[in-house]
Amino acid sequence: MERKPSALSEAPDTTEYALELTDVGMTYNAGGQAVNALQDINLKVRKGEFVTLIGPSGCGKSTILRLVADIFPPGSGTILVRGQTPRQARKQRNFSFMFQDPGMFPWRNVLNNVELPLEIAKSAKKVRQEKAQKLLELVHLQGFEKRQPNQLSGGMRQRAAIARALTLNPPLLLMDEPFSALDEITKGRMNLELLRIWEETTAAVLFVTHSIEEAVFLSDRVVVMTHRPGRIKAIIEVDLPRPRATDMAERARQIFPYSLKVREALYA
Amino acid sequence: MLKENTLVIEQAAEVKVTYFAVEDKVNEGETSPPRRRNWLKHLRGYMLSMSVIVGILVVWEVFEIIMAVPTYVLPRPSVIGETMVKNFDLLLRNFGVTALEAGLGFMLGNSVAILIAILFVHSPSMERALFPVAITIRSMPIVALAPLFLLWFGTGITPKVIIAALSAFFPTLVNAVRGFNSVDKSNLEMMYTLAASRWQIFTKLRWPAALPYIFAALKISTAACVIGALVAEWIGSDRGLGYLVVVSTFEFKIELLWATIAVTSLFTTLLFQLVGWIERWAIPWNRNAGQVE
Ligand SMILES: Nc1ncnc2c1ncn2[C@@H]1O[C@H](COP(=O)(O)OP(=O)(O)OP(=O)(O)O)[C@@H](O)[C@H]1O
Ligand SMILES: [Mg+2]
Repeated sequence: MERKPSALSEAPDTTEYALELTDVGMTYNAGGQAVNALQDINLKVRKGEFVTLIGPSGCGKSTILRLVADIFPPGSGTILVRGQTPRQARKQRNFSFMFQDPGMFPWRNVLNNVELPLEIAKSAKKVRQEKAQKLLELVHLQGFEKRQPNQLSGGMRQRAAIARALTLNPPLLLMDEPFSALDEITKGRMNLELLRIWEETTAAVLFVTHSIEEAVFLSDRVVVMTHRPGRIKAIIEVDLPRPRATDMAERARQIFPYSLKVREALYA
Repeated sequence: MLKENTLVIEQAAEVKVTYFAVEDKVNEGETSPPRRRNWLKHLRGYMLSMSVIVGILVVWEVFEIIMAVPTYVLPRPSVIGETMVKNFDLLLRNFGVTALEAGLGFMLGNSVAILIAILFVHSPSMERALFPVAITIRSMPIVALAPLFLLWFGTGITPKVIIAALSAFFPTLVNAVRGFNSVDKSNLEMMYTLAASRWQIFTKLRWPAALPYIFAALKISTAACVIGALVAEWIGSDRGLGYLVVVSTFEFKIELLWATIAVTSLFTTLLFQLVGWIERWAIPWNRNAGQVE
């Protein structure tokens, strides 16, 4: 890893981890019935690390992200985002959440959509427009600032969503299947883009996907989860050098042995 | 393990692949600029609907001439037109009264409906408590209520405005609530993770998302308000288009009755159009959204 984690530390750095989950469990109450979604989740994500969650549908991947994002509290265990509780981290906007749906507001043009987080944080118009402009350049969307979201392709909208997620320089990015609605080719390109962009930041990423290849290509570590109740079954370390191969064929060759291991763990 | 790996790759190498010389150029997503709205096409739309209306009037006229329908059964469009011109002052004066009542009722009923919808969206317990009340009010026949309002508020403009407002209230309430709740869950969660305040969530997300619903309701309520005002006048008034309906029926002035009906529907149509224009100006993104050219 050449990337130096944490150059931008506003919060006092009491920990070397961007995210720590300790003995986390979660039980939903679905119409009077208890659904045990997560159990004994222990996971530490280092600063600047890219970690992917993979597992069968309904194993609780989204639930983990939502717990971290303070959308609801864990049933048991503790979660720390850079040493803070999820609530503190959310209030200080220390992470951002990206969903499968780019969720661009159709009444705002691309630039105004990307500015949104800064607008909510009440920063000055000039500051946020400059920042949004710079991010749109980073995601290669310069020239599309004034377009409405529905005038962009799916891949472009998702790039705009990445830009929006980076607007506040969050030290942690939570991404829930951000590319799963895209076609294979666009997805491959978006993976490259994401890595390129991520390498410009110091953010740690907790990423959810159903694609083994995507998981291996992007990650430092791939976390394989079990069926309900979701538990961590295996962690595969992907020690391929960064930056990762941009040539698709080379990339397929490199990730092959790791993909095989992930597949083994998934179906074991 | 790695042995297996090499094997697969070697197999892949035996597949016959033919490459063609193509320029290596990635020009992603460069779309042509959005086409300007074509006002000519718009005008053509108007022309079309106008010609349909004119066509109906012509058929009506010709039919009556051929069949020699007496005026008291159904006057010819030309006779109605003539009456409108002859009674222009009378009609204009009474139109002014009804327009004011309907307009004020429109604003009052819709504003209250939207405010209550905002309250409902932010307080589900309020919604549970008050929605049945709204439904009860809705289910009461306005024709039966009108005399009571006249009793309570006199014969002036107030009862008419209230009845017009009541006619507009319910559809707008239902649609506005639906609109405010039409936002995506993931958008709400995004706003939440950005630590947005309730006010910010409302102004930046719920309100713009609800506008298409609200405008649909406003369009419906234009006709409802005019009818409400008319019914109120009908029951107790000495002016307005509703009054004119009563008087012309009573005095057997069938042409005047039809002229009044014509003015009323013209007014309703104009009001509807006006709201449509405001809609197009207020939510331009909605226009682009479902556009198929
Ligand atoms: N709000 C909820 N109420 C009740 N049960 C829920 C709720 N949300 C999720 N669950 C249940 O918890 C389990 C985990 O859900 P979660 O959405 O985290 O799975 P996931 O791994 O993200 O699945 P997928 O890969 O399909 O997105 C599922 O069995 C689901 O039915
Ligand atoms: Mg999920």
